[in-house]
Amino acid sequence: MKHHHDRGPRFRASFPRPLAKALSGTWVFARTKALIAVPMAVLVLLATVALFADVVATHDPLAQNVEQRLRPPGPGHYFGTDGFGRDIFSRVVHGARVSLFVGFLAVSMAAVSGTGIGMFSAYWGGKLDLLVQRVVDVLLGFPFLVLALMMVVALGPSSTSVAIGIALGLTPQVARLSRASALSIKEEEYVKAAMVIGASSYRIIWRHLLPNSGPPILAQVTGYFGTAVVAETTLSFLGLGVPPPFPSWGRMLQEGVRQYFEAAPWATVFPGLALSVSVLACALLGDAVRDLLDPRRVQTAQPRGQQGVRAGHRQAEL
Amino acid sequence: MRLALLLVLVAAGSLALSCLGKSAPSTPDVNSGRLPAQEETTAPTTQATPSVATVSPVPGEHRTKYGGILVLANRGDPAAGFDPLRTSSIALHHVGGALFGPGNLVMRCRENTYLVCPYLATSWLANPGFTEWTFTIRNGVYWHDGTLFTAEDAKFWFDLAYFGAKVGDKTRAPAYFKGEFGDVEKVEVLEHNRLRITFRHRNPYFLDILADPRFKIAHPRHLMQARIEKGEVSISPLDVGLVGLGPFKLEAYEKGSVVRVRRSFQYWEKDGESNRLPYVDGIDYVIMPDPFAMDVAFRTGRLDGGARGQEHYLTAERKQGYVRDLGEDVFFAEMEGGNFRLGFNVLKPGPWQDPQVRRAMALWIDKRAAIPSALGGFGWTSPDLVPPNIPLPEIRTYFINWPKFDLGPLEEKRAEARRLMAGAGYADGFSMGHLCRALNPAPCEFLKAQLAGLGIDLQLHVLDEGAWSRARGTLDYDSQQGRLTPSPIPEGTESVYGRYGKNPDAYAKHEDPRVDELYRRLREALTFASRVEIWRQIERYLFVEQTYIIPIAESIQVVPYRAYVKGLVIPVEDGHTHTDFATVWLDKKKGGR
Repeated sequence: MKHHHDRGPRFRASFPRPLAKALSGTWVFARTKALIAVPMAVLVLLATVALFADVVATHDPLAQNVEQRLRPPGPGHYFGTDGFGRDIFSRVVHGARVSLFVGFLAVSMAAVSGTGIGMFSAYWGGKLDLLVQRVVDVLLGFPFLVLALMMVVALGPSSTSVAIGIALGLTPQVARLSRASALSIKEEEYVKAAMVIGASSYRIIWRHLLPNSGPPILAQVTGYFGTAVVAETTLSFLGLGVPPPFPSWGRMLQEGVRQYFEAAPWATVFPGLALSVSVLACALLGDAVRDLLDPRRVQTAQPRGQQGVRAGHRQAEL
Repeated sequence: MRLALLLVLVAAGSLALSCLGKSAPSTPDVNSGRLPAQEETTAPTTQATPSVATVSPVPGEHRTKYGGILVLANRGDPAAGFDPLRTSSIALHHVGGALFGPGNLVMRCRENTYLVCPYLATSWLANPGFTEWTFTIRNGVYWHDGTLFTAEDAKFWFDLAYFGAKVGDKTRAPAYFKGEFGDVEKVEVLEHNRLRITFRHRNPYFLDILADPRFKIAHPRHLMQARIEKGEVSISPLDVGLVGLGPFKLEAYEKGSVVRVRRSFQYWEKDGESNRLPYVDGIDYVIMPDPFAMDVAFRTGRLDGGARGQEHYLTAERKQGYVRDLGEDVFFAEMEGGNFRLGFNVLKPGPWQDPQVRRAMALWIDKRAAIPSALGGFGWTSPDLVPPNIPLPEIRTYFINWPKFDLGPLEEKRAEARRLMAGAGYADGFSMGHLCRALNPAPCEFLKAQLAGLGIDLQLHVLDEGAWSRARGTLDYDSQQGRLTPSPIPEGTESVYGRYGKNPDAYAKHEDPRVDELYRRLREALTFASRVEIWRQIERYLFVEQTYIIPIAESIQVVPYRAYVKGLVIPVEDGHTHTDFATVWLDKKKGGR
């Protein structure tokens, strides 16, 4: 019985075979890789809520009802109401859509552009590399939020401009990482071999540099997702995010803190809680992905007896 | 002989009254409907109403004390280089009163802010046609650097405010409030330190308009004129070291942190017992853009008074927290804060050009709902709902432009609104842009939700302070809202409600010549009754027949002060008034900070 439990519950009895197999695999994964599974589950839940916000929300997030203003959490309003009598639960749910969309868009843009810049800079090297890296240095010299803020001011407040602003702040960091990664891979024998046999630059970057640089970039970018969500919230808190009255966690926090912190703490607590949970999930997932993909960390996680063998094997490969 | 005797009597009377710091009527007495006598005068003018300014609580204590530093929050860094010709921002005028004084040649009286008192002028004289106003400049007034203030300085300020400056191809625009002065033809310095302002048209209420606390003299001729002539036309008071004429002079300004002002020992004003003003040694204005930070600082004893300005004025919920924590250690200055209104740009094509559509919106908006949602819980929509602690004088019941229209049953009004929209061909609604101030988006959110019910999609364009200030004077937007307190007399409202060509800062943008005509008739009214009647016509035309503006609700500004802050002048309306704090003294007990 214990043996069965370790492998997962008996899904075969209740579900068709392929589904049972998937569920069983998920269960085993969740038990053995809890540090990844739990934050991933939280993020999937948040993404689902954001995607189906219209269904999940109990009220129109923009509908005002002055008779219902500043009501505490209760059956009619799970998270209470704000100063306009708007349902905070519905606003938090719709705010998830804004925050996650902006976070996803910003990180995607930063990942694509940063990886591209880093790869090309590393591959071609020389003056191009020198020039690109100085530009990256300049951008890194700006505090990340200041850079994002400047972009939002220039482009005007909207979810897209916020995402572009955040992406601009993250791009130099991704570019620096991808360049470092590509530089080391560029010196590998198989890359040199590809060059010798006349593979095109595009092919070498696409087939060799990019796939082999992927894991560290992926691990880093996963962590950046939380940073992007926090940045979006910060910009919204400063009044530079998604324009009102559309709900975003940062704007809700700002309104709650500035005017109702004492009279209606729920107006601050619930968006703050949503933000904390999502950022914590992103941070944990980022750490877990990095651990999973980092060979050195994998080695330290091995039983003592196997460490020397693995390390020795790696040294032999190098 | 009789003329000589009269002159002697007038001179003696002027001297005696100027020593008392009071003056006699020279503008029409609007309560009685009398026009002013044409002799030179130096006593409070305009409205002989009972005292309508209050002073912070002094139960059983009338002995003022010198000394101490008053610590106040300020909403932000004073804008536009501390230039009152450029902005009415309360972040400037809260500090500006102390630095530049509570008025210019005249000011609103401290005992009754509906009266006009002498300030840097000791007396004034209008000609029978009210086209010439002559002011006698006060002797013994010094700029903070020790330079004597003269009629030349006053002329320099008037010229700068009304005409601006032009040096080569560089131009300095006139003051934003230029239109309120009327049609100024010329400003001249006369012998005996007098200044004469000549108007092209009759301007009987010039004094009341001039007493607007926003019109501060902050421009020392001896420091600015030469630099302007060299081409520095955009020079600001900050550029010349903030040398003012007010009761306090600048000690330090740390941007984003604090403005420290200290008592000017050359200040001329005295209290009723001939004690020199101001009483406190200085004021520290702590820059606090965040109202929550201000609340915390005040309640933990770091501030003696709150900041003025939207978002910083207390809401009902925040006030409860103050009362709960501080009980009798805090009191609240409550001032009528201007009308929350929606104005249309009818010069831009769109459905809102149709008066029926604008009228439908006016009928649709639930005005009472604005008070808790958009005005922080303090305000009123009807004269009979004015709180008893706002002692509006009778005169204001004639002239205040409150939202007294459209207060019938909401359901009926909304049915009529739908009918009007259908009649105009917009039964399904439309989209309309709306200029919105990032500093205070709550009124915009309120309007968006309200108008959504009528099918109108209000597109909010949220702008920061600089962009908002620039945009509201342009024709680039469809609608905007505001809460500026216009002048307490109807003649002073033209800058808010008048034609765009004359008043680019007006909330509603129209080029309706009928409005010009009505304001012209108002200025030329010879009796109080006819003045009221014409103002009624203007109201009806602006707010009902054309609905260029929708008055929604009247706001109340609430500012907290520590109970030991005494002698504070609390105007019935307009938080810009008497921000000099010259009469404030601190009654701290031993061991107090």
